[in-house]
Amino acid sequence: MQPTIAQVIDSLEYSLRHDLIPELSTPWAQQTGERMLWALEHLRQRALHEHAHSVQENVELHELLKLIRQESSKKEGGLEKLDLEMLNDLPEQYKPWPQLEDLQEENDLLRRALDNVIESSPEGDVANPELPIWQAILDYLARQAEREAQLAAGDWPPPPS
Amino acid sequence: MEPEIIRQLEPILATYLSHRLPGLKNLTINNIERSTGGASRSQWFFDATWDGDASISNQLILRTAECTCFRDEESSIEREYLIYKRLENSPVPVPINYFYEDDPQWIGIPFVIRQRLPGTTRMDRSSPEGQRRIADQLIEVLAAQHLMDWQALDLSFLGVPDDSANCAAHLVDQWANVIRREQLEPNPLLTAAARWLRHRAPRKVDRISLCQGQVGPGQVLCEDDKLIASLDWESAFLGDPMADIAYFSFMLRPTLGDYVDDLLARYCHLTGFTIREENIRFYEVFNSFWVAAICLAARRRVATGEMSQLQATYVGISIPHSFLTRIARVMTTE
Repeated sequence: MQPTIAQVIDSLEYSLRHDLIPELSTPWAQQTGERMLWALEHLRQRALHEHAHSVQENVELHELLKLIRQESSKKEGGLEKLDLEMLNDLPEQYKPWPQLEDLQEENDLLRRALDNVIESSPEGDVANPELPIWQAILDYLARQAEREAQLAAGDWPPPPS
Repeated sequence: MEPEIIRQLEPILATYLSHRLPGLKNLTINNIERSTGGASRSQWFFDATWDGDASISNQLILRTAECTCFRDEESSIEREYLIYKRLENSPVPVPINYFYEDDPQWIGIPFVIRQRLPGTTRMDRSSPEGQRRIADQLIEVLAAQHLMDWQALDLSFLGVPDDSANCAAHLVDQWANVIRREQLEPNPLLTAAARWLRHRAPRKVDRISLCQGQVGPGQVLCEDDKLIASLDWESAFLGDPMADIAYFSFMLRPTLGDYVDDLLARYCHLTGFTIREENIRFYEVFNSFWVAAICLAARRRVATGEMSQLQATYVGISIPHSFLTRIARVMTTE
């Protein structure tokens, strides 16, 4: 449908910035107007990227969990202690035309499985880049944090006004 | 707070102050204005005038229990009020907190009536020289705060660590539990961060001190390059003073650069403590972990319908990500 979601958000932002915020008479109302501008940017990022990020996130998690299963089968170091139970019952890699809700449901299960692996990993191993599992987990965590930061459209502390 | 209550604040405040200070005559409330400062609790500035003498300021703040990010289990407004009361006669300058009220008949939720002091929390509006002067005063206050006898000030209710060597690990466990309680979806980054922090929790602590939790620009009120008061005590705790030093250094180094080293040397001279780099590195990451933890409560409040205000959505979504990205970066590079 035209105009696109991004274009509708553009017009909302324009009116908020030029028609509404200048008319607001209290600092609180002005600040709320500014936060509405942030919320619109956040919605724009989610509308444009959330689905693609969710697909990418789940692909990466499937690959990561597969690697963890392979590495843990070597039974080296502390790997035999890892909680891998959930790895035996992971969802199929997505349906042909996944809805965002399906991807999120799948993502929840995959993250939970990874969470269990991390919880059961010896504390001394956590974030040790010399361990292939942890190098892969760190790479995933860094990319996941960047993806979510893009969707959040946030910055703290905010730049001085 | 209900919009209907907000519309009625003027008569409510007038009735409340008359109830608390029955000697006041012809009390009027003016200039009610919602504060834009901070992102946690809702608060309103207002002026009160009356005939006769009273022991409170004319310029006041209504600070309410309505909160985007903290839960009462960790930081209630009553706890915050008690900290301010204990600090009123200490080397740490704070605004006077006149009344704590938990009777729901007034605004439906607990609140505090606090003195409103002049000044701004925007340290960045001072000149570079002015910012250094404010930081000079802040480090002296911080040194005095860390040397204070918190037992004599009756601050033990903040939770005395069983063992100073374990106080850092205890903090990690406390906030990891908050994350587990508040998170809406699994968060492997925070799970990894909790375990990473626990493994690196420093055990050498010079002294258990009153820590503010957040120290630096935004947490002090200043005017004409003078530090007027220290604000934002909701995250105070008893623990390793290096937690505050890490926050102070992290917040001020971007603007003051190497001058922060001079300030830390001054702090060591005043306190006799050593700047423990291992502790500083730990608390720099822990402070990001803590911010992420408190923001999860805001996210949950929005998702469950407990709080619909945009303020909560903003705190829950916008604020934590620069901290989460930072945690990921530190874990991948150290």
